[in-house]
Amino acid sequence: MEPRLLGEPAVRRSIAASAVIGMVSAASVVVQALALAGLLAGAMSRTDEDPLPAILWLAGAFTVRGLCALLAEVVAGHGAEAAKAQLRRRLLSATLSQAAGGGGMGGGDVAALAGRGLDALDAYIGRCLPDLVLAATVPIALVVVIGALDWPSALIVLTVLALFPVFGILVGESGGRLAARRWGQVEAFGRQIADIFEGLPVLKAFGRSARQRERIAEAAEGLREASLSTLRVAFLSALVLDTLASVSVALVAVPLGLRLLTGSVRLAPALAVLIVAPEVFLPVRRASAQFHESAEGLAAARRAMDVIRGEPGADGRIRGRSGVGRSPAHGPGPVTQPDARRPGNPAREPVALSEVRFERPGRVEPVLDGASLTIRPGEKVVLVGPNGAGKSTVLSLLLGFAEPARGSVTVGGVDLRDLDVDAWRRWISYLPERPTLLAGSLADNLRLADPTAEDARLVEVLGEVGGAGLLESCEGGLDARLGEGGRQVSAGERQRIALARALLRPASLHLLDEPTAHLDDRTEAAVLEALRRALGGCSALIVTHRPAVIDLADRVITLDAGQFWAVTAHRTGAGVAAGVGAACGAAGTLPLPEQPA
Amino acid sequence: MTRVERRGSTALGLARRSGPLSGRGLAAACGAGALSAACAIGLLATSGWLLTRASQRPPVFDLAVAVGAVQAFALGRGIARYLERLAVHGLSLRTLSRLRLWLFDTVEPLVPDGLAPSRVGSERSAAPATGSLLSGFVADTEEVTEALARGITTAIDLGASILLGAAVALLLAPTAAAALLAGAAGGIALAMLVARLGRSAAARTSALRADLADQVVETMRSAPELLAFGRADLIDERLEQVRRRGRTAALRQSLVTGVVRTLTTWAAGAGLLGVVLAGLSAHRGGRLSGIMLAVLVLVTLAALDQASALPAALAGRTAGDAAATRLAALSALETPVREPAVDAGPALGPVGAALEHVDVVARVGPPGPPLLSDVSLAVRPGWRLGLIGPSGAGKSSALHVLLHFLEPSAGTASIGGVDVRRMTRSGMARHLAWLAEETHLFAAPLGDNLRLARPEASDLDCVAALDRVGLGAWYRSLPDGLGTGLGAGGRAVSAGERQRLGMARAVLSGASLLLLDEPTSHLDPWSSPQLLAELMGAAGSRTIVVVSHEPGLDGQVHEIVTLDRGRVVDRRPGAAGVPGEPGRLAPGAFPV
Repeated sequence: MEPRLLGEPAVRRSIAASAVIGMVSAASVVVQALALAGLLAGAMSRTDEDPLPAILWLAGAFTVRGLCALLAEVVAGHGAEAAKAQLRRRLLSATLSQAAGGGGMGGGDVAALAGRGLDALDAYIGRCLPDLVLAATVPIALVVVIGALDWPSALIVLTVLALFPVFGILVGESGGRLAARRWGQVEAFGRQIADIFEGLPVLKAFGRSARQRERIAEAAEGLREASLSTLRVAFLSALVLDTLASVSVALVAVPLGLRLLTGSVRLAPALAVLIVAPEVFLPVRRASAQFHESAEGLAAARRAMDVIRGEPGADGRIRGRSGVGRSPAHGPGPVTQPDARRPGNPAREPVALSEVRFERPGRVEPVLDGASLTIRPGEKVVLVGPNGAGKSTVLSLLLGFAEPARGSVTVGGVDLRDLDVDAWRRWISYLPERPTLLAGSLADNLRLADPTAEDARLVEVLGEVGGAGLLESCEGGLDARLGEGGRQVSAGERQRIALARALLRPASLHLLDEPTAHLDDRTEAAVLEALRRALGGCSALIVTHRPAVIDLADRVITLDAGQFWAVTAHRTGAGVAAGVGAACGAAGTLPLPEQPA
Repeated sequence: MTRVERRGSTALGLARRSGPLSGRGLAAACGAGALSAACAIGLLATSGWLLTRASQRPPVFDLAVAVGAVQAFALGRGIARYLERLAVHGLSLRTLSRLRLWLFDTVEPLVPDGLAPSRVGSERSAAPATGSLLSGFVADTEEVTEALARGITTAIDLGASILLGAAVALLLAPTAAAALLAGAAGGIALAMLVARLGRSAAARTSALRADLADQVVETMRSAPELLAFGRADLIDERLEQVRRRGRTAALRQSLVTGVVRTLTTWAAGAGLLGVVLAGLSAHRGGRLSGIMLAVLVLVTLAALDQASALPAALAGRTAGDAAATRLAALSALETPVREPAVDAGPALGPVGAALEHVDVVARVGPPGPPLLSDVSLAVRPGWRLGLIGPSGAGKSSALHVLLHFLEPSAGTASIGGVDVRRMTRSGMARHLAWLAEETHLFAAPLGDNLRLARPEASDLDCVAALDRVGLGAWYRSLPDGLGTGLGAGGRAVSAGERQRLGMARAVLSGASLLLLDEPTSHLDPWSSPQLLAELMGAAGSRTIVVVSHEPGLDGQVHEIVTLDRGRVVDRRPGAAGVPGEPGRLAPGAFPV
């Protein structure tokens, strides 16, 4: 059970509805038992009672039970879907923070979790959780019913019910330890088999695959034996539950029979108790049978909740002020801060990070620690360094996706936290490390950056980044659909479109992450020329790995141990690249910089 | 499309294709299952008899047998079920073993180019790597056997209890037996019919779900950009769309499962009602005592109780059959190459390699342009050839033709002047070694991982190979030397160490021709040119064909060939010295 999941209103609603349906279904079982018992007892006493009402009750009970089954499925399906929609929204804000934090669980992983990962919740929210609730409520309700019919029997059933957890714990403890040990063995064999299959191309290239058939056979046989001995233990808990449930029927039936002899109980209630008794244990057995399914769902739920409550709160709160992630169920509507100020133009005011600290949960070292950097108006700063140093984090902080735990991001001396973040982003053009294209036309994708841009301007910008060929090869030109069902786009083409989009934006601060990734040398040169012209008097922070890009720089900095360092260098790009390359190479030793940037 | 693919395959059908189900195991499962059903029915029947008979106040002695029987049935039931579960899982585990060997035999000739990646060319998800594709099939074999175990258990339980219940009913009131059978058969038939009708809906639903999952991933990934451009409304719109479509999918799926559950419940109810009515009329007609009426009704209740397991089993069957269909489709795939029985490869010694006017068409996946058209390449013994070009240009395909993973539709590929089609896999491995983008390390000791290339290699040979690829210091830092475990669960290695280990394998193999397929693409851009140079250095005087994007490639090779869309578009000399001409050989460039 993942208690944090119950904090989600959609989950609570779904479980409550399922529990109500389960109770109605249990009530129909009681009606069925009473009707049958009445009929049978009537037949014994040879009273010529009309059986029709009892038969109608019986039919009614079954009808209700059948409808409950249908309703339960629909509620479960809907509940899981609604819960997933809620979780997806909250994961979205987490994605932004994760992308900001770098390292740990990357933004891509969160996205994957929000996609297919959450599907494991279907069975968990739809079935396992309601079954758990029913296992806790239905038995008690049925015991009360039995008590009303015949209280000594209720005592017996209650005693056996109380034994369930006791035996469960006993079997679970010893069995659990045994099973865990053997389970490790089973997993090892399973991994071995998967491993051989995964390496099959290599084995084949070395002419060794024939021998591996024997290893597969051995591992498979080992897996079979290990699994079988694991199951012998694992099934013990089912054996105990099954036996307790059927023994309880015997424990109820025998005393009832003896008391019937003395006439201290009537036949009809006795029969009804006999029919209801096994139903008491059914929900418990069903819940325990779903252990494996629930384990998978639980793992997914835990991961999701860990990410959502991944406490960037302590060291950086998400600022999707546009409303994403704020209003879980409905559309956003911009959230404006009453005291938010208009930000200054970064082409005229300096943009600075001062003494910034930013941490990521699960990472010992802070990504940034006392990091300071000022981008002067019109200055082009190039940030280089090895992967995972936190370069993208810097961009996220500047964009206001995340806030520093300590220190501040300022525009013209005013803290970004006090500014209207939507207005601030209007000054910015952004090219992420992995740009995305939306399903839609080429023009739609470009106009994301500037909805008012004319067609001619789009064509011009595409030409600047070497995308003229792309336009020619697109059927329908600017109106060509991209992606699914449309023209497939290569990594290089995607980069050019995203680049064109970034250049199209009328911005005064350009934040570009790897602008020339996926481009060949010739295109890179052309793109850099276009960039130089487009950047003009704007400020820019460019993250790159490519030596040629460094030529754009007024200043080159690198990021190490959570701080910015100036790369003092020869003015030739290649020279700087060589120096930085050595600095960030495999040896991992940085020459001591002369001064922090 | 073959018949198998169109009709789909069932879990049972696939399991039987890999070998017959064990008769003894099946008999044991059926026996234990029948015993368990008998105990369940016996428990309620004797309890019912006990109560109704007791209500007539007979001497206590009359009830003694029933009291004993009730207790015996109660204890017997759990034990019989336990035995049944073990028997069924023993059976399914044996099937799993066989299925995996079958998978190996089926897949081995197809690897790596005969396997169709599931979503080729999709904008959203890149084609899965062969490794993950294969582990997916391994998971499918588990899915199939799980469905098989569940199906067999349900069939045994349901069949045994219905038949036993009907047999008891037949003794008491024949019309009641007919009602019970009719109710059960009707319920099963209806449930299976709805499940079958729902199957296409289920397939649509799961396709829709995969699609929605992709859409969510895409939305998440695009979120920073859209926020930066002030278009949060687009994110909301897309998530809302996913929510609406997901709700439709969920409704459709839950309706199918729900209707199956409703129908089985109603059919069981109808069966019970029929039995009650038949029993009552027999009772009124004096053909059935009140006690036996109670026994009859309770037996029916116990027998129909098993019907509740049917919907889950049917749902599991859908998943199992889907996995079975994926696996069965493998055996319908065409083997991309044919190997000769006898090896006619060249004599051992330095070899070159050549492609002459090679065309290759894609045989798997959606129809597309040819992988290679009229490609000719040649590399002389001891020379080094670089292949460059955009992704999808056919660089890897060219290597795979030399490896004989792909069969040219026209032209020839040769190693040491001999057509690769005349060489067996092991014969070819004596001449040629392959270093892929990411070296697969097996979950095995370091020594075993290296000896894969040459089983008879001594420890000294292995260490020498490690020294050669620059892993000497790393090796000496290992606590267990060649016994150090690698791969999943073993010692973690960096991307660079991984590729060096792959190169050590190649060096150890004794092959004189090395094919390197983007060996440094998984490395940090700052360290990869260095690694490529070191890997090439470790290769010594071996012949090399290398696919790479590294800027420093020029200085490493004698010729650079550029491919684009399967064609050679450019050839130019590289900057490496000429092997065998000492005057022009850079000192130390080719250690022998």
